[in-house]
Amino acid sequence: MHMTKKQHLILLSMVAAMPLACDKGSDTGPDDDALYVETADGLIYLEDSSLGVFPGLTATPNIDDDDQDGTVDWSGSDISEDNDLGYLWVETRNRDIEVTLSGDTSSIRVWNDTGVILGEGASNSATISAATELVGLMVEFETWLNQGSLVFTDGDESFEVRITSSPLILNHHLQPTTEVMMMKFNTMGGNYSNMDIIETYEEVLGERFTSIKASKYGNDPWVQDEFEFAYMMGQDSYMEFVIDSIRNGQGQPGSGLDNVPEDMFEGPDFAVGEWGPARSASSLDYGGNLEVTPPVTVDGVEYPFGRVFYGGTNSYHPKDELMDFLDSQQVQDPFMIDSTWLCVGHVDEFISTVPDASSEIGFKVIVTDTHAAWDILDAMNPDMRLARYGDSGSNGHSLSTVGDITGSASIRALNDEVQETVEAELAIFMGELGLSESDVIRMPSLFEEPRGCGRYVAALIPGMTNMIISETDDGTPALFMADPFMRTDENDQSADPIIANVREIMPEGVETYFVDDWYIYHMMLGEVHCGSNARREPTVSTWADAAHLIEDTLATGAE
Amino acid sequence: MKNYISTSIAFSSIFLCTTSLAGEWEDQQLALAADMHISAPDLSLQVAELSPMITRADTPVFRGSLVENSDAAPLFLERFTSGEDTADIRVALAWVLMDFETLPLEFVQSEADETVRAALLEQYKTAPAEIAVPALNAMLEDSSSHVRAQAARLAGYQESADLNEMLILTLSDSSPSVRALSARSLGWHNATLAYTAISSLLDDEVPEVRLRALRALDIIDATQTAALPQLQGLALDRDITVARKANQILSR
Repeated sequence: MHMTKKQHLILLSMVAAMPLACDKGSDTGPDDDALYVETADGLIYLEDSSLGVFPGLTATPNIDDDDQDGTVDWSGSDISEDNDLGYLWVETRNRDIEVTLSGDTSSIRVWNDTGVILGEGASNSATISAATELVGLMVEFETWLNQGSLVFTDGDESFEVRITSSPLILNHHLQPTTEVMMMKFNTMGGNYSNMDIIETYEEVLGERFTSIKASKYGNDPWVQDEFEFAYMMGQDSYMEFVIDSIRNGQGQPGSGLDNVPEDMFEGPDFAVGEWGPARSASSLDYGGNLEVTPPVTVDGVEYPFGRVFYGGTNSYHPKDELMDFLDSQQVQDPFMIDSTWLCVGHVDEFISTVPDASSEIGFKVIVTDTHAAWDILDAMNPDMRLARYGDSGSNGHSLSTVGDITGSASIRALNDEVQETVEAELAIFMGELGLSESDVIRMPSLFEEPRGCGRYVAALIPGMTNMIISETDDGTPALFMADPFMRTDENDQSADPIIANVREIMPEGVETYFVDDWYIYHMMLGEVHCGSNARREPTVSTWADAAHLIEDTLATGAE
Repeated sequence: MKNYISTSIAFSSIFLCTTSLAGEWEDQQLALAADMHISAPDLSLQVAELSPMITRADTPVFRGSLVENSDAAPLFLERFTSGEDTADIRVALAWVLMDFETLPLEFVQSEADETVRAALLEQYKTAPAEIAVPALNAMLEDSSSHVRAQAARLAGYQESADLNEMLILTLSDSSPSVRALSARSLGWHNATLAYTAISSLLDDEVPEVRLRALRALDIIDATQTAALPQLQGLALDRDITVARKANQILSR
């Protein structure tokens, strides 16, 4: 095995940056005759090994298929096509240098230009032969958060360089979108088209929007539920990842949207993983029930990648396999709120976050609020006809006028109960994130018990909390949410008091787009977020910013 | 299991024997469907082959112009009664049928599958009271606790005191779901006469029953409920939802 041209270039670029790197590591740099190691962050040597402390050198786990041979790259013996390695240079000063590896040694390989010299497939100690030039080493990890220690020894003196693979980091709503996607329905006739949403996405997002032919995937519209996007990063590597839900197209492997991650994303620099047994999914295992807050600081603890949250209870929750994995990644410290009172059971139905530049924390929590809806509806003319709500059965709610809603004791009683539950879960959510009421925007919302849901509820007014957050080409936050249709003329959004209210309560500087999701999504118990998905790019350069959240297993002996 | 099967068979037999009107209606519809196989073969085939879509709650539902075509109603009834579809598809077919017209109570009662029977009750959520109230009163006595719970839940949507007498009786149902939803509906009806009976559920062994009872009492008489001696204990309930509600009442 020889180092590839690309890998050589990476190492050479590090050499070119050496003076700067020296500045980063120390004011003085190593003595002229001293052993040192260089990474992309700078120099590590006896007198200043600060860049070698945990997490030290970082890289993505080598779990994609860069060489496209159909197997995960770690399982192969050829890294010539790989770009998921951590790189370091050793200045031996023309002396033999001893180097030892400890930690997760069976999940780490250290390569030089002849092959593996340390770790899996080799021993845990080696000699780097005396050289007059810098000696390049490459570090490869099997999976997430592998931790290791390289100790470089020159005679009686030695120093340590920690090596750590990236955790899996799930995207949050404040990260810019690189791609928004939705299934395209335009061939089923009647009301069963979502072209209003598709066209709005195309107009606002341009090439960042992708439509996927629905008929190719069994007309399964719930693209949010099938998978969740995430990423990993290292000093010299970056990889996207799809958490492929065990939903499996709402049926069995291969049905509906099940194959989308493999068809569209899996490949070089993009890996796919699944947690939990196939054919055993409950709705709580779906992507709409797996969300991430923006970055927060809670009781002085910084979460630079936000916090993962999902819905469930102690006895009914997402599969242990997925929860345990998310817990194991540590940096987004997951928590659970109860979503099981909802028919679909997803957190995205009642809570979300939107960017707010005027806020100290940079975002607002959006939560469904039935009282806010009553405030608006009670001020409306009860005789006002509601074009969309009046249809019976599968097309509407059998509520022809505003008065049919406001005059219904059962709808009021049900929504009072719902809001009690929402308030309780919001209190937990705010407590977990260290937020106050001033960080919350209350979205006018009403719920009902639709057919087939028994005592569990879904949105009566199309759920606007269930929105997609993206941005226009100039970076203005763009919120895509359901048109509430609380009006007579369905083509006149300016006459809709709920739209007017939502525009008023959203943070300044965001643009709102109310799209028609009524027939394919709303009446099928989902909304815009349920029917969309988004890839996003990181807004931080290194996951090491969150290293304080990760247990240093070599220090604690927990390896 | 043996008891359940024998009970179901007996239940179906009894109602099939007493459903002459419903039987007549059904026979007429099925005869129409048979005629349509000849007069409208394309429509017949479309109904027979129609596949459901799946809601986000994984429930099959039929969508499209066909389910809005009242001419196709007899064909949907024929497909429903054929029993060739699975229960969840038959539930979706039931919803199509009830969108065409309110189905006779006897037809609902004669359905052997409790899941489908419960689904057929959905029509009483919005049906006129003169149809829905006697039907829900009857279904509160169904042999299936699943169906009784559905009837107890839907009773809340009918703003009629004529359901309360039966709902008070079902507060002592053996099924916790029936007890809980009966309490809820009585609360929604603001049934002051039920206050004492609902109070007896505050020490029910099932948390949902205690919660629904507490909510109902709070709706019926918030002042009296805030003074209930059990409230302090409920504020420390082992179930967080019950404790939360009790504390909310205490904090007012």
